[in-house]
Amino acid sequence: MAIFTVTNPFMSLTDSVEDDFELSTVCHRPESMDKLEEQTKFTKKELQVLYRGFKNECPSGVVNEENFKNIYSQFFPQGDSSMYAHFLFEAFDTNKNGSVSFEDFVFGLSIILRGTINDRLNWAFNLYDLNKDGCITKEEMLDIMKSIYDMMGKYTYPTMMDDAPREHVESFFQKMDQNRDGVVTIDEFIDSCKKDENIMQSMQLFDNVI
Amino acid sequence: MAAGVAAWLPFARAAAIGWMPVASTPMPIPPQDKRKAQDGLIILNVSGTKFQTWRTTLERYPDTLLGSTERDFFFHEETSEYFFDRDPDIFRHILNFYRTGKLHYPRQECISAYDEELAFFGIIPEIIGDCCYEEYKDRRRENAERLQDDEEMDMNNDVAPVNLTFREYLWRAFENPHTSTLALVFYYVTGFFIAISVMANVVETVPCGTLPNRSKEMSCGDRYALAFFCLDTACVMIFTVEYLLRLIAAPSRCKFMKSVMSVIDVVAIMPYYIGLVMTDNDQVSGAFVTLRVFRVFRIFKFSRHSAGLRILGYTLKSCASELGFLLFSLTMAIIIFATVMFYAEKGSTATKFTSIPAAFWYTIVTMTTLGYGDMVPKTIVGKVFGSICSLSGVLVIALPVPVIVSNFSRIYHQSQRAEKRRAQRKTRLARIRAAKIRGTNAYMRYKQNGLLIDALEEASKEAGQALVGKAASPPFESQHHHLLHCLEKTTNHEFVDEQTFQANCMEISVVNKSGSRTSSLSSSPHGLSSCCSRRHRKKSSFSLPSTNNQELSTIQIRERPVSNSRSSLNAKLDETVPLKCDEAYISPSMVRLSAPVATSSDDASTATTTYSQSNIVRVSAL
Repeated sequence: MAIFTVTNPFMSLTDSVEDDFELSTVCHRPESMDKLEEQTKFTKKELQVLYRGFKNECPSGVVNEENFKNIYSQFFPQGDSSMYAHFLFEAFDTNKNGSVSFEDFVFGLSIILRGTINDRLNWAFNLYDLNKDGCITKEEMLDIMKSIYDMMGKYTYPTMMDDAPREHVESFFQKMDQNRDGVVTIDEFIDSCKKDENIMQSMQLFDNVI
Repeated sequence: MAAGVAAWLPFARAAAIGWMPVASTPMPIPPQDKRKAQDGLIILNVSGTKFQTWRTTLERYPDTLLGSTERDFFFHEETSEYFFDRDPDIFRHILNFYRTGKLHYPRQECISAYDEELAFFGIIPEIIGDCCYEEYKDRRRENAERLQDDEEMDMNNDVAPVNLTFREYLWRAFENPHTSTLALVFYYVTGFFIAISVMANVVETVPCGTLPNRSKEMSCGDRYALAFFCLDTACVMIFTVEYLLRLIAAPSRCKFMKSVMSVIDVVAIMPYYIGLVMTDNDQVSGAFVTLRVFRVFRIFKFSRHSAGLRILGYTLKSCASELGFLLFSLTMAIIIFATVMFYAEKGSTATKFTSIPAAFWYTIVTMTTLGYGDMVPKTIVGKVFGSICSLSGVLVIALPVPVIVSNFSRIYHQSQRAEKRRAQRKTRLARIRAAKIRGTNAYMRYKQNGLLIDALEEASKEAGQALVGKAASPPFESQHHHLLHCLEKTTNHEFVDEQTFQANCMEISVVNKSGSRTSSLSSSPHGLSSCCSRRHRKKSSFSLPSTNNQELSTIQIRERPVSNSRSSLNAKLDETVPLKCDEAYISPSMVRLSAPVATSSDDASTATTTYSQSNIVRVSAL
């Protein structure tokens, strides 16, 4: 008897009144394409493609962290990519206003995809340095490592050990921390990366992404 | 991964820079993007309406027509666009699917048209977005019901009577009284006897005046006991025979015995038989009298005769939950109010509210606004609560009633629609037959065209039909006719109309008494192959006619000297049935038949050198 299942028909009425006030959305328009072309290393066509994709997912012109995490998680359905997406968001949001506009987006991509090796390594260091104090501590690195391992999810081969991130952090610091002071500075980082063949090779991957 | 975020893939790949310094092993080689910068605009021309989109938008879904190389089949070189001869209104939704990743269903479109478009473009309907999914499923279900109804009607109407066993024939006669006159007679007779039986039950109890030697008024049943008994016996006999026949004819006896109508039948006739058995025993005569009440159930037998009654019954069954709720809420209200009234009236003298169950009667009568007045409250408190009771009664009863009414209305309209469809089916079939006739008429004219042109003029004037010159018929038609002609030549048979064919067979069955006829009758699907063979044998004796029309009629006239009424009709050649005769019979005679035709068929074949095989639809219609 369906009539018995109606619990409280009056409850929804009060909520909807408040919702009306939130309907005004933020709308952000990027700078002109010519200026962006000057400031970044992308061609007009590439900017067009990037903007179309950006605007499709974020019609209001800015990405907030929620949306950012949502989009990024669609690429990694098996694991939990929210922490790594959070770190990424922090790295892209250069002016720290809680949202990533198209300019921020394109500047970041320009560095990663079209920048020099130094630029790229700088950007990566910036990503790892969570409190932006110029050096990476073991705790910061552990957070980053955990977020990367979280993206793998539960079903991996071999099975994920709980201390895998910690071990990885140890080996990372072995390689990077040259003066054994427990932190990695920007110079140590760039130096060690340049010495490593594998890292240099993988940095070349970004040349053909777009 | 949703295709909408495919545009963000470069970003996701760029974000992988965070993993590089951390990784201890080298990264795998990235896939080479062979088709770089292929992002151009594609023009899609759908019946004149031009749609444009990016190539990459379409390629998000590579397992559909537009996203795969299948679209190359529709590429139009001259205008360098992709042309689709489909509905542009529905295409809009399909293109929006590529753009937004969500498929919407427009409410004003027909569901089957929409499904066809989806099937054409290779999109599975299961990905319809949540906003439109309910509507889509509802419409699809309605459509499926309609198709199922049509199929059932097909099965009911198209079964050839010849092939049924006696049992099946009987069942069909019972279920559809309109199929044969006997069934219709039986239907009305049983209806009449149901009415007689019910009326007899009613009249039995009417007081009929007193006999001179008795003081008490007697009912008619007692006065004319023998007459009523005979009437009852006759009715019960008819009902019993009907029930037994239905039982025998039923395809599934267990299912039949469990059905509602058969239970009603049994309940209607049981009291009589129980009465026969039990008349001697005085102790159970009281129970016997009660059993006679069940005789009134015979009135339910009318539901076989009345569709409206069936709909009412079906409505009540489908509204069972609403009715149950009504009953439940009424019971609650009755108990509450009865209790209150009892305690309110407890104090007053000589009150009728002696107990709560006694107050139930008052509550029911008040809530349904009957108000008999046999029990009324006397105290003020009692009157106050009495009025509250009557007001709330109106509300409680009024609430579920519209639900039941709307259910009844829906079911009634559905049955009306089914009736309408059945009626339309007849006209639809008639239209199909008319189309067939036109097609075969056209074919016959074509043959006449090909053979003898001037004879055609005479024939057409005779038949009263418009002259169809060779140039006037469209290439479509003439190619189709040529195809049929080729088929005739291949199989060494000719297309003729139904009347000719049946007339032939009747004639043959009169003339021919050989035993081989029966065996070939049973083996062939139409059962009439031997007729054809005999007909062709007889053709060997005809002479070369001057006109084609006369040729055909002379064929018929020569074969059937007995039935002359049909020969004049054959000039019209209303319908044809493709013949399926054994070729072994006809080869010697066919040589002669084709001789006069061969010379002119050459003309026909040179005239129409090409024949199209694309007219498959037309062929099957014949």
